[in-house]
Amino acid sequence: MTARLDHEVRALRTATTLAAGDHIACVRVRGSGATDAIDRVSPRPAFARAGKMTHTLVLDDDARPIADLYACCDEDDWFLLAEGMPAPALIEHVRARAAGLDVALDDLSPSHAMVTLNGPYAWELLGELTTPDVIGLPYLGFFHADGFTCFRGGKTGEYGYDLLVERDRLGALRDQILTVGRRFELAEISLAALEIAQLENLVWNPRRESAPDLTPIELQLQWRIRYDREYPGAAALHRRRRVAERRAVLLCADRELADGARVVADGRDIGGVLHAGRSPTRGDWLAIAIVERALAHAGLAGFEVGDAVARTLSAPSIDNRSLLVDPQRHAFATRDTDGFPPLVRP
Amino acid sequence: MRAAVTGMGAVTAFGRGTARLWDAMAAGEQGIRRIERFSTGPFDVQIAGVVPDRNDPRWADPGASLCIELAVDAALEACRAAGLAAPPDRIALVLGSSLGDHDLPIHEVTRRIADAIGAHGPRITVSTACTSSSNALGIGLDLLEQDAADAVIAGGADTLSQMVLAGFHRLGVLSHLPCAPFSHPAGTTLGEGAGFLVLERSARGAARHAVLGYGLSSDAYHETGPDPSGAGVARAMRSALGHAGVAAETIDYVNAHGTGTAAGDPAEWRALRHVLGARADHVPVSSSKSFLGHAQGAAGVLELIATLVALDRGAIPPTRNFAGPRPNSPPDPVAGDRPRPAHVRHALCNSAGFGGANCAVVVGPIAELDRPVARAAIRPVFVTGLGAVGPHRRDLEARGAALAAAPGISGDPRGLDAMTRFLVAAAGQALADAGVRLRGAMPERSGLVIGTTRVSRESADALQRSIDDRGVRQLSGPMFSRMVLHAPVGACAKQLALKGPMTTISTGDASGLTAIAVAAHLIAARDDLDRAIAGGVEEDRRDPEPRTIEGAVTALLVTEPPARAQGGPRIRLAGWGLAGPDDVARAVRAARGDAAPAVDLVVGGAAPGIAARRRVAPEARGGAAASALGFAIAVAALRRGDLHSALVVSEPGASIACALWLVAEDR
Amino acid sequence: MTDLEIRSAARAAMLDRLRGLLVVHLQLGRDPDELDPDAPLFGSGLGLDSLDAVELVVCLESEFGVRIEDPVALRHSFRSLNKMIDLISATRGAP
Repeated sequence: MTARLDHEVRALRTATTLAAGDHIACVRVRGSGATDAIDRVSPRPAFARAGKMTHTLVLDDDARPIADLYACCDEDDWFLLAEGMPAPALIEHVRARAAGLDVALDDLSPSHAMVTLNGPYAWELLGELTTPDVIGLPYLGFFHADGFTCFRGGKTGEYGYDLLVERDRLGALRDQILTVGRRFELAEISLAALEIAQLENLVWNPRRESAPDLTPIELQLQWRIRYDREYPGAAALHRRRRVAERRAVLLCADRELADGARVVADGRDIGGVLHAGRSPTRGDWLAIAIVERALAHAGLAGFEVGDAVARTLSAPSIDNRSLLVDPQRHAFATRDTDGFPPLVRP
Repeated sequence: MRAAVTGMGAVTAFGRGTARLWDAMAAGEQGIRRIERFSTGPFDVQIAGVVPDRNDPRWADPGASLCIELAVDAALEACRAAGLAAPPDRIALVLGSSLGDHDLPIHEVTRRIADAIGAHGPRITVSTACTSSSNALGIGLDLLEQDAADAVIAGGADTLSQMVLAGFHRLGVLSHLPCAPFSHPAGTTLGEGAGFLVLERSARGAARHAVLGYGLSSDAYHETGPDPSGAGVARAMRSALGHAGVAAETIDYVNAHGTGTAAGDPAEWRALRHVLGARADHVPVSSSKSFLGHAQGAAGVLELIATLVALDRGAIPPTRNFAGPRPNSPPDPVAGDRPRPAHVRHALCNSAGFGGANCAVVVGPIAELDRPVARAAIRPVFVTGLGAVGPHRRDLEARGAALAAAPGISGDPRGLDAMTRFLVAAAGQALADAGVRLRGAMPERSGLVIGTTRVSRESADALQRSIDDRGVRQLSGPMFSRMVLHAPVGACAKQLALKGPMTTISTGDASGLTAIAVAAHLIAARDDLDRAIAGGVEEDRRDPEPRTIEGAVTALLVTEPPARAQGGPRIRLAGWGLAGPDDVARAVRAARGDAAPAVDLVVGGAAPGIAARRRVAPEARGGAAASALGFAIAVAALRRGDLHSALVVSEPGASIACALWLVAEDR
Repeated sequence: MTDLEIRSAARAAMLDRLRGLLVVHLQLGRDPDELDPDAPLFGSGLGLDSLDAVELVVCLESEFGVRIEDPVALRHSFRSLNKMIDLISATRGAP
């Protein structure tokens, strides 16, 4: 099991991977009030330009993040791609705040499926499925290809593309990806592998890193909110802003770190582990912990977590290959001679 | 509209004159040399394509005077070669120049050059960064087409200063060796110079070449980096081929923008493959920057002249410094030190610049000047939207901020200077006023033509502060990139996703009006755009008593008659005229055509020979926004329904006379 | 203060200093305390782009005396405020 997962994460970090996107809820928002309806629930302005995605959150009235959200403007309509919240709940959340607006919300899962391509050469594989010009698609852009809609998001620190396809074309698309993927050592991977990669990059995981009394302020997600607008949870955030006492920090250790374990420093309990996991890329254990703000800094050592001695890291915890792969110059075929540095600094 | 090239003049890194240019190319000389004009100690780069007889410390801080001197020299050579006989008020000057922050406003630079060479027709400055002089050639064609001149001296000039070197150096795009386009190492080399063509409607005497057409586009991608897919460059090339009525199959040579940068070269090659198709691998593509350096705003015209002097002798210019291809580059870059003999039916010359502007020009033999070209019919132009931000500073902050924050306008307004925010807000307002949302293929057919007179003072001051605080080596890269007049226009195109023809011009106080006339001509005479936002913007935060009205005023011009009932008549821009600065009467006649000499309203300057029921002279203290404001006032008055026609006339003191004639039509 | 508290305070001070510089030089339009230490600076996070990266290089040089020669190291070091502090600390031998 571990070996299988290691292989999957390694493929994601060095080549190309395909995973099912069942964990992504997909909702279509239509009507003249669509933009306003989304604006009312999004903690940051949703960029209302065709082909652009906004990475935002869904908050409850206590400012607890309940979903990770891409709001994607498709001319007059929108796609909402959500993780951590099923489509019916998302639809209800938006509808409840859309009073007076002409807006229709549809769950696309009966008719559509999602698959996701991630890896430093995912762009090259996608270029063979569509056109090489896909390298011009900026991060957080999307477009309608022949047979699917392609969203460039990616939550693992590698090039990542989520493909939305009609269910009766899913089989054909998967076959096509697997065929083209042979040239790119494509591996089919699990959600567990995606989640490990997400943890390695400290990208917030709504399924495992949500808890009562944790707001974007504690979770280091303030970049996804603005304090100068109205939305569910805005008031709670204002109240919390000056008095927040804890913050998320990334820990690593040579021994196992467990979900829920307490973090002890200078003999005091300073917080607890929210989510932990083994990092195959690094060869050690990682955890996102919520601790006292004064000590929530990277580059510190001497934290006791269960049996382990942990230190704090800056995120991301690895040097993602995708940051250096330049579609203008590099290719999968030349990856071994392109002289990339290791994924983990010695 | 095709034009004969009846004369050429150039001052380049090789020295003075087009003969010198050819002789040096033929002898395999390298124009890039050590910079002696100013200290290069703070930088890692010591070389550039400097004009050799001006490469000493006497010229270290010349302001605009060196630029003027080079331009006059090149323009006079071109005029002598042409044996120009047209009356002075029928000779136009279109100058392309990149930097917007000389000690003189750039339209004043143009005026001095024009006076020195005796061009008293329309004077237009085009300032679209590195595409300035190519774009200027296009504007020159347009002036001939609308009979605003009988001869146009079109081209550009730019000089190299320590600050320019510092800026490009800071952006990390310079190579420490003479640049090696499509090869190694990546990086470009700066240059300078001046070049002009004389363009006329008919060939006289020894004219051997014709400019057949041009095309413009906007990347709408990033402030300084090109769209890696090359889509913007491809659009400009296709647009040029369409305008010229030339098929891609007949292009036998491409003079590339070819700066040598890691981002620019592959994007351009991608675009060429799209446009030339399977033939692309067999068409020679060379970059003259390899021996001239990147002459900034003058690059386009100088590289075109290098192409023409070579074609004159049955050859094409080479790409020097080529030591093996980079991935994603043309298979035939004409590698070598000397021109190569070649038979060329048509040549394509590319330019691209900061702010995402792209320009392509098609040239061919003079025999093609009069070949019939299927021309699009002259299309009508309607004004369907207006946007205005300003003039009072307090209003601007509030409106600009509010509009920028509203969904539908843009993403994060972070990092845009005030000038850009004014323009984006006004342009967005014009679209909203017209009820237009750009969807599907509309962005690629939507243009942006803006007039202004100076770069953002806010950004210029920030740049100076960075130099004062940190030294010239550490100057602010982002602020440097805003020192082109075009910067806010490119940023506006990106914010609003305008991907069609885009240009920035200056004619002094008539800049806003002129921009509207230029945009109207693009819509009327071409078929690669359906609408354009046009107007003026100014920002002058330094001066407590600014002589320019600060703000932005734009109009949405469309060719499709507005269908939905906006309430009130539809407003048609029925005519426009451009003439020399002292020739308002001619501009007015050109705008009005044969219509009776009475109009309901005249806005702006005096309109000789026109009887008007009402006159409005807006309290115009000058500047591009003010002149566009006059246009907006006229449109607003016609919309109210009690007036049927209006004439908007530029104020005296500009570098051009411009008149626009508006009529209100019942639907 | 314990050793841990001293080191934390040093990091906190550096964080505040960097936040202030970013807000001023990159016109971020946010309060400094909104800039989370691990937030992605580029792409989606705080929306910085390659022009801003140029500014950051200059900032690090002039404010902290840190000169980055290697463009590869530069990319990784600019991904978050914490990464930048790591770089400054490593270069200056700070705690």
